[in-house]
Amino acid sequence: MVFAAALGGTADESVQDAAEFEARLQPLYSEAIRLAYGMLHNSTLAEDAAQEAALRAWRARGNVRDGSELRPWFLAIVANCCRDVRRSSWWRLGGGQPAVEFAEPVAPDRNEHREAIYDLRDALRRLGHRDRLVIVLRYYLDLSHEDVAAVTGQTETAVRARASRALRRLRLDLASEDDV
Amino acid sequence: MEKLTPDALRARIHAAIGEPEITGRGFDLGAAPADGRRRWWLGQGSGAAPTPVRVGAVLAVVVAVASAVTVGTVLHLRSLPKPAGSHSGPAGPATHPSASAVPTLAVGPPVTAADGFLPQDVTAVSADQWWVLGHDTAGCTGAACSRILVTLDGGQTFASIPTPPASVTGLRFRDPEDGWAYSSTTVWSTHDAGASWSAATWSGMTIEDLETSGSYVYAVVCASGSGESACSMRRSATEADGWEPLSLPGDVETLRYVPKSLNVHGGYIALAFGASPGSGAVQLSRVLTSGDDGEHFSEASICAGAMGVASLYVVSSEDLWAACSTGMLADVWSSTDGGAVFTAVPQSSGYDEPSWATVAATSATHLELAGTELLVSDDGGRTYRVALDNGDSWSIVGFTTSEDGFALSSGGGVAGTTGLWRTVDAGADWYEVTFP
Repeated sequence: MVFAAALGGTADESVQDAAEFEARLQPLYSEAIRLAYGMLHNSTLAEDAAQEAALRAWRARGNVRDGSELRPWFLAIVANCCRDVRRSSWWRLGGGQPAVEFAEPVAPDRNEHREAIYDLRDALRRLGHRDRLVIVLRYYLDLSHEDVAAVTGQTETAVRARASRALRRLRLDLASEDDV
Repeated sequence: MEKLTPDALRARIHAAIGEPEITGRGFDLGAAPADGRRRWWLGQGSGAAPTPVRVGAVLAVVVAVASAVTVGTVLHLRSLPKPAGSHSGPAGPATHPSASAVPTLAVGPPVTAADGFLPQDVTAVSADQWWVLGHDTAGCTGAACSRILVTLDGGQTFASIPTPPASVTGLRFRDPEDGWAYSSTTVWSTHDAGASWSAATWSGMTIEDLETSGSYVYAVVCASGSGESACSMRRSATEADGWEPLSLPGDVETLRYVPKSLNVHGGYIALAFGASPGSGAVQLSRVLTSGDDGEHFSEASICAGAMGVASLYVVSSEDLWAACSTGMLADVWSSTDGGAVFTAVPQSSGYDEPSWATVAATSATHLELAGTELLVSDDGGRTYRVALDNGDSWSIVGFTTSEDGFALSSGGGVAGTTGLWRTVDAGADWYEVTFP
């Protein structure tokens, strides 16, 4: 409650505002977590990034332009938080050790394709942030090119070009491995 | 990975990523504590320590892509003519004009094909003398594929000079003799125009950014090997290779902030930090400025009410520009008092550049904003016109003089590669630099 009051207005008003804003965000919770997981491949970090994004969204709720949708605006914030996580100290704690961001196991029914799946995971991990974001939004969250463009702040044409290029990079990266 | 139908591709990526194990029950704004320190409620229910992972894979994919590209043209390196006279004017953070003698150049590894050279960074000391760091994607495989091309005639001809014995990601030259290349772990310095390079490393530290201006070279480093990670600055006299730590105020030197942008101009330094997610930092962005080569820093508020600072550019010790993220998009902010106060620039004509946009300027009124387009403003950011829009993503590197500047493009081309672009008329027109 003190937190809410510190954000302006009376404590009661701010708590009510926060509750209303929280209610608007709740339908996006699952999608936000999945976006963060697709970018970070760690459930704990994904939840942290989504929660951080919620707080940032609350702080900057005045930036939601009239008539604009909350969903792409919020997903863009989630993506920005994921980028910051990848630049953060925690991300570097592993030093030169092998990345463990994909450490969560492959589902048992996929065991026969385990090696190919791990290769694709590694290739996804090696993509740059923007390429990876487009791939995750388009092929993991199953958004349309139009919706991906809304989240990334690009034109649909640019999204299609980036997706095409990212897939090309994946193919090149996997070229030295067995095809999945 | 063979060509797949969209559905098959989607299925494979779903399988590769998997599904998260969600332990929380949804967003919980009301549960945040009074002081904004929210680490305890982030990841609620898990209580798990952050998972250590590593960075630095982008370079690997560049090398991976590069190794698969085959181009037939041979880059002929020509003898270098004596450069024309230098221009003068304000310096940007990426470039450092100075009186430039003609250096004696050692010969570096050949770049096999002009269109196999992917530019990554550029640094200049005048309109005529600049160095381009890139990767040889056609004639090189493995880790040490960085190449440095130098021009002494404003880009008409290029020569390859020796590179450090490892891949590097950034390059700065203070004058024709003294330069620094760096990777995430090592700063390499040369004092003989690239003929030889000396390494400096700091155990457990990651090098985040490096700039040089005046009598010093500055590096931003962050701890990478312990739980008590911290970011700090180091500086070295440009001719000494003796690095010393600089003291940054308060909690910047903790887990709470990650460096976003280092800018220098003469003895003036501006360093922008963004809050590390989950760190509990109340301020999402902080800017530290110093007018005495980093001896003392002052703190300024920036991007208030926005998501954080995306880009910062120092025109002079008085005029600074910043791009601040509003979520999806970026707003332009400016300071005319050396960074003491930043204010958002009111727009009379809208622009929709993404939250990762970069800004550069030559004065308090003339600036460029780069994101999905390259925009130019002559009225302090109130109105813009499109200078370049070809489907690429854009990043402004900086201006060498009031007329000469550089930008890097990424994306939209057929090959999906990067390009180096230059302006000689303060951003009114741009052309892509070719490496003949």
